[in-house]
Amino acid sequence: MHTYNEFDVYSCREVYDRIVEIDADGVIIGLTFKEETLRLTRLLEERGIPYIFVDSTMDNSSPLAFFTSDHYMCGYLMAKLITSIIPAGSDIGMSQAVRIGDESANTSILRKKGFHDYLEEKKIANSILKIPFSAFEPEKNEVWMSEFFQSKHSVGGVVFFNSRGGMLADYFARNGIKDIHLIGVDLTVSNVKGLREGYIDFLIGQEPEHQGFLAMKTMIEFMIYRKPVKQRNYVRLDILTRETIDFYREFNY
Amino acid sequence: MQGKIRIKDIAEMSGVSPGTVDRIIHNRGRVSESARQAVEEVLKKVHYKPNIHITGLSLRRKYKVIITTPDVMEGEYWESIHMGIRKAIQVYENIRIKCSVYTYNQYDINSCRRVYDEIAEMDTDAVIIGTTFKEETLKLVRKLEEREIPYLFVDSTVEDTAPLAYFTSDHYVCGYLIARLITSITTMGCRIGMLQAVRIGDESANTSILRKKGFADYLSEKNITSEIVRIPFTAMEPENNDQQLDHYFQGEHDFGGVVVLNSRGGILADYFYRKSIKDVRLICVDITRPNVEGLRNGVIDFLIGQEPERQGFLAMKTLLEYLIYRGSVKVQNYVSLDILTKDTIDYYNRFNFIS
Repeated sequence: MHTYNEFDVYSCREVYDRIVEIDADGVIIGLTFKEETLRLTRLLEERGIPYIFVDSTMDNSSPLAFFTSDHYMCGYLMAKLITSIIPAGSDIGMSQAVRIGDESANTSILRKKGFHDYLEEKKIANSILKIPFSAFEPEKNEVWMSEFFQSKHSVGGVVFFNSRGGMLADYFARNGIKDIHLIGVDLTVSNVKGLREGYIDFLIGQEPEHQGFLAMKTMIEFMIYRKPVKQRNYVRLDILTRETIDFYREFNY
Repeated sequence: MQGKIRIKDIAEMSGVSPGTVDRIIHNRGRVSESARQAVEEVLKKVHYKPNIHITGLSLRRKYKVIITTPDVMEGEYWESIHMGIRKAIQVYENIRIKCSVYTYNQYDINSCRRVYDEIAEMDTDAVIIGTTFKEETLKLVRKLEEREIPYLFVDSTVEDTAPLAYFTSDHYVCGYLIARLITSITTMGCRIGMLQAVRIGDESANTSILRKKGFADYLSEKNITSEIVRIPFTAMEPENNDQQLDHYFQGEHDFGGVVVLNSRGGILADYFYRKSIKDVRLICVDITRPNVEGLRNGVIDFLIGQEPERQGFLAMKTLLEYLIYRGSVKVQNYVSLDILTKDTIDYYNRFNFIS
C-alpha cells in the first residue's frame, strides 16, 4: 500500500517513482494526476505488470480493468439537480480545489465538463462563481468562504465536485446559513453529517467499497485463473438525501 | 458448548454410533426414525451448522413453501420480487424445495380473499406474503399462527402480526421524500396532483396509506399549503384513463407537478409523452418497465426504487436458512430507497447485492 497526497502532484510523483522499482504481480491504482499516471502505466506496461484502476480511468492506457462511476454524468446530474432546486436566475457557486502543482484532478475535470454541458444544452444562463478551497490550509478556507458569502448575495446553490463539501456544510451550520442549497459528492463522514443536518440537499455516492471489492476480486481471479476480464466497469451513481441515507448500505453487494 | 463440535460428540450426546450421525448429517443410507429424532434434537441444541453449500442437516427433506403476492406481470414490480426469490433458490440449489405461487388481483379485495382462504387450509412449511389488504392479511396470518406455520412479508409489513421476518422499504419515509422532492422542483404554491388507484372493495393498499401519510406530514411540517388534487385512475379499465386524464390536463391547467405513490406512474408518463405535456414535473415509484421508459424519455423526473429483487432474495434466503438451521432471525429488514433519474438509471444494477 503506497499512498500520496492527492492535492500535491510532487507527492504523487515521488510515490509513483518508488512503485516502478517494486517487484509486483499487479498494481491497483487510484489516480488523481493524469500525466503522472500515464508515466507510471507506461513503465508497468513495459515490464508486463497488469494494473487496475479504481475511482476513475484514463485515456491512452490499457488497464486490465477499471472500476469507476461515470464522472461526466455525475457533473451533468449535479447541474440538473442544483438548477431544479434553486430559484431561477440565482447564481451557482462551484468548488475550485487549489492543488500544489496546480493540476486539476482527473475526476473534477470530467465532472465540470458534464456540469457545463448540461447548462449549455438546457440554455441555462445562471452565473457560475468559483469558490477556492485548499485541503492543506484549512484556515484559508474560512477566510475565502466568508469573503465569498458576504460579498455574493445572490447565490442560490453550491456544487462541490470533490468530496470536501462537508466543509462548506459545516461553515453554513456555524453561520446559520440555511437558504443556500448544496450538493456534494461521496459519503464521507463530514458530508453525511451535513446531509443529516439538512445543509446538504443531495449527496452523490459512487459505491467506493464496491469498486475496491470488485477491483481486488478481479485482480485475484486474473492472477489465479488467467481468465478473460471485463475491462470497463461502471458502478452506480447513487442520489442520497437525509431521508434515504439511513437505509443505504455501503456494503450492499 | 465450547469449541467445534465433532460428530463423535454428537454421537455420545444422542446415544447412537458416530456412523449413524454421519449418515444423518450427510443423508446417506438408512437410519431408524428414533435415532434420527435423537440426533436432530442434539444438533438443534448445540446449534450445529453444517456448510450449507456442501452438506445439510435437513436437506434430505423437501420443503414446501407457498408464495402469495399480487398478480405478476412482465416488467412490473411484483415480477422483480419473484425474480429475487428465484435467485435465492438458485443460489441454494442444494436445498430441496417446492414452491407454489398463488397470486391475486391487487385491485380486487374479493380475489385476495379467495386466494387467502385457500392458502389457510394448505399443508405447507412456510408462507411468503406480499400484502395489499390489511384486514385480509390479518385474517390469514391468524390462521397460520394457529397452525404454527411461519410466514414472512415482502414489500410491506402489517401491524399486529408476528412474521418470522419482513423485508420492506420504509413507505412512510418514501412518501415524505417524494413530498420534499416534488415541492423542491416545482414553483411554490402550484397545484400538485396525486394519482390514486380505484380498487374494488374500496380499500386502499397498505403501502399507499403509509406513503400518503408521509407525504402529508412533510407538507404540514414545512407549512406548505399547495393544493393537492386527487386524480383517480382505474387499473382495471385502462381504456378510460385517457379520458379521465384529459379532464385534468387538457388545455390550460395549473399543475406544477404530479406524484404517483403506487407503481403505476407509467400510465401517466405515457399519457404525458403522447400528449407532449412537458411542463408538469412527475415523480413515481418503482422501477417497472413503463416507469423506466418514462424516466428515459424525460417525462418522469425522479423514480424511487425499493430494491424488490433484493427483498425477494433476502426473504427466501432467510426462510431457507431458518428451515434448515432454526436459528434466530432478524425480524425487521429495511431495504434502501433509491432515487433514480434519467442520468443514473443506466448504471443502476438491480442485482448488485450478489457480486
